[in-house]
Amino acid sequence: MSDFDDKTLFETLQTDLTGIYDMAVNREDILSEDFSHTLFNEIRDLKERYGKGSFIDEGGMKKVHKVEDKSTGRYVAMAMLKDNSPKQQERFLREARLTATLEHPNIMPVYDIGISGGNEPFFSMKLTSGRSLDTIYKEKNKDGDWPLIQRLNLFLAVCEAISYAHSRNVVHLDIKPHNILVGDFGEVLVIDWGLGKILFDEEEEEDSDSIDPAFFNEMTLDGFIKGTPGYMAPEQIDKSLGDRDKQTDIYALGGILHYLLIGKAPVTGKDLEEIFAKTLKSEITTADQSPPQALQAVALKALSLSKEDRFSSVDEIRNDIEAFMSGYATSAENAGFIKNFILLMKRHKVIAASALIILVLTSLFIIRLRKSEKYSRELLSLYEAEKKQTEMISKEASPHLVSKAVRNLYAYEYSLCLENASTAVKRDPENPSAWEILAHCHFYTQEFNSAAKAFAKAPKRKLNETLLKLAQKYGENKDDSERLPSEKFISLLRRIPTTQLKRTLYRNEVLNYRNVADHMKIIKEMLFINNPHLDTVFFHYENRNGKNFLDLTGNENMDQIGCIRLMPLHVLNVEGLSLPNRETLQLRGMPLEELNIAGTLIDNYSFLESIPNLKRLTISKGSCGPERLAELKMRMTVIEK
Amino acid sequence: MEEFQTRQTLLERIQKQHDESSWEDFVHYYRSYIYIICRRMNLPHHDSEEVVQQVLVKLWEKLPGFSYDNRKRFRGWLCTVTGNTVKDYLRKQKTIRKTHDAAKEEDLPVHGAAAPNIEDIAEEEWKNYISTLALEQVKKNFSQQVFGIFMKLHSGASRMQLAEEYQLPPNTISVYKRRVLSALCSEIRRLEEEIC
Repeated sequence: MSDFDDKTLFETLQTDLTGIYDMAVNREDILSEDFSHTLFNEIRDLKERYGKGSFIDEGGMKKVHKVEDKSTGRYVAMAMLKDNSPKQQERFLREARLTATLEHPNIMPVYDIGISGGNEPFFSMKLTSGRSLDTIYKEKNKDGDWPLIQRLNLFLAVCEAISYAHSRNVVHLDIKPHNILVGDFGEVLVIDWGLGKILFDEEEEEDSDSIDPAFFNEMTLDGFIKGTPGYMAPEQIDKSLGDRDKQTDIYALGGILHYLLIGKAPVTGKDLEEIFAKTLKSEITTADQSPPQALQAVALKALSLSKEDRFSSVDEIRNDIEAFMSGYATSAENAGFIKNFILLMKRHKVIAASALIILVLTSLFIIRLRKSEKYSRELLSLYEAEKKQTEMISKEASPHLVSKAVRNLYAYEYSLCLENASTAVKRDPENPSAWEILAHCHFYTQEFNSAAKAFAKAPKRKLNETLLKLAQKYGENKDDSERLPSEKFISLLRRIPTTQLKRTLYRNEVLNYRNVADHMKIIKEMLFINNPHLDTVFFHYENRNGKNFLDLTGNENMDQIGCIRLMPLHVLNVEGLSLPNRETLQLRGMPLEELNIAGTLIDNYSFLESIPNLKRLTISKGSCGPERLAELKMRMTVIEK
Repeated sequence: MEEFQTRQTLLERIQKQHDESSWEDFVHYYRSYIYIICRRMNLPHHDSEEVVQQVLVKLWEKLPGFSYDNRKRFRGWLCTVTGNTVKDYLRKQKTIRKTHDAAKEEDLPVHGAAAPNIEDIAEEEWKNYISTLALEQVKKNFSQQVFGIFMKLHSGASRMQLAEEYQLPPNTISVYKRRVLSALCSEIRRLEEEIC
């Protein structure tokens, strides 16, 4: 207090610490008080569940903000109305309820529906990093090199969402790129069910106008065209063409496929009037370069003017796309052939009726050869197109395999990663990303010579160059099948630039170590890497009569011990470390006989089930409930400290 | 606990023995407290220092004869004594200078001995005072970031906000909070025992 005169003291005097003072003096248990109780109080005393928001996006009728949900402690997206008229409110809440009934991984989940303090309805949804399909398309297909397989997988996800909704008799009626969110990791969410309806729902009143007013809301707000017109089905413009139903969604799905293939809405025009006219005449936009015919055929069939000509269900579209992806012709593509065949039969009724099938086929063949040179040429080009597609699929598969290999590496599945990366390189030897992942995989499995070769073909990046140099240095005088001695491994670890990479390298090492005592030196280094806030690491390992003892006491602030996972430890002392419950994961499956976790933050003892040999356990007093404690004491000696 | 209660308190030592070292301990902790009470009565810095001296002199004379049953009651009494001293001080200043722009007598929240909640007010100031001392002490043992996070949490920031601001997992925020809080509580207890 000497360095603190009265005046400064007064000026820095805290006026809101009486709560902590009371807690201290009454000796309330800080552990329970602060951790569970403060949370308990915090949630109980919540006046407003949602915090202030920051604007994310808006549509014709709704605005969406990012807000903190104080109750669950996460951020959510909150939708509110722009115009709070009673009619709009009813419609808005109906949308929210409708969406909430749909539980599917590709449909935006609704978390909460409510009325705010200002008497305005709102609903909250999952907050995603996803951006709308049109944004993603412009970004990914800037140079026309967004792999077709990726685009088709995305389309299939949309189909799955709509197929699910149709199975619940819900139709979307406003499917367009703007209403499809694509996340950074390829997750797809269909949003904005504002025009959606439940089929056969008697309460649903049909507007008498021939065009849904919401379309105008959406598109002509403030005189600007909002959203993306051109995906609406003819029956949405002219009621006489039929009701809006599942077929309407199938039309729009055809539009999405069309967009994914050629980057244009199926119908475009300078104003709504032109778009409507073209939609009703079925004037579909064409591509500058021609996409695979089979897929174009699928899109066009879905975009048929008459509902009967479209696919009868979303699953039919999915089947066709999947057929194409596995290299078969699609049903839509075959339609022309079958139709021609029937027409041919009609034209040659006499022969067909009086001849055997084989004769029909023969004559068909002869007639076709003779009569229609043009048609055979078409068949030939169709065949060539298919052959090209098969080649393309093979090339397209390379990026797909690369992303698989990357996921394998994150999951530390080194051999699967190697397999996928090698296949990716074989499929497309010109793909630098394939070489990159292959190089990384070799590197982490300590096959430095192969890694160096692969790095040479990988993209020139700082990280790749750093790793290439390391691969050359550590690959010298070492065969790829040999592993680094522990001292060299540690020196390599220290040279690796990021913690994540160090861990990836380490995880492979721990799967392949031969000598525990030797490996312990590496563990000590990893403890440093995993706990960068520590200045020193106290570490004591010893092998007594074939049993492994590890003592980590004294490392008060250590909270990560992931690197001891998979170690055959018999005695472990981590007393006083700041280990949270999650770190007990690392102990699973160990042959532990003695364990000291007193003074840690661990108070969940379910992990002990996977340590069958445990005989002696030391824990903090009071950290274990009486029932659990009694149960434990039946199985082992329990010491409470 | 038993031993704790039978131990002689600082005040008892002063009353019974009137010895120098106990008095020094007493002044060490209570002079800042008296100063804070003066400032809370809107008295400026220099005047407050003056009043603190006067109050301490009064205490030196009155303490041996003062009978109290607990420390809370004692602080209430101390506040009353301080309040009266401030009042006297201002009255004298007024006659000397005829002006007292620093503080107006009628605005002063000076409580009479009969004021019902004088003990509560005195107690609240005491809690804040001890907690601030403890906080200053604890601050030295933590990194700026950890302590900063604790203070922000304390002033109402949510765990999620801070997790985002500092790019840390929310659980780490909780662990930081617990560490500081635990240190703070033991420091408050230590101070309390020392002053007892």
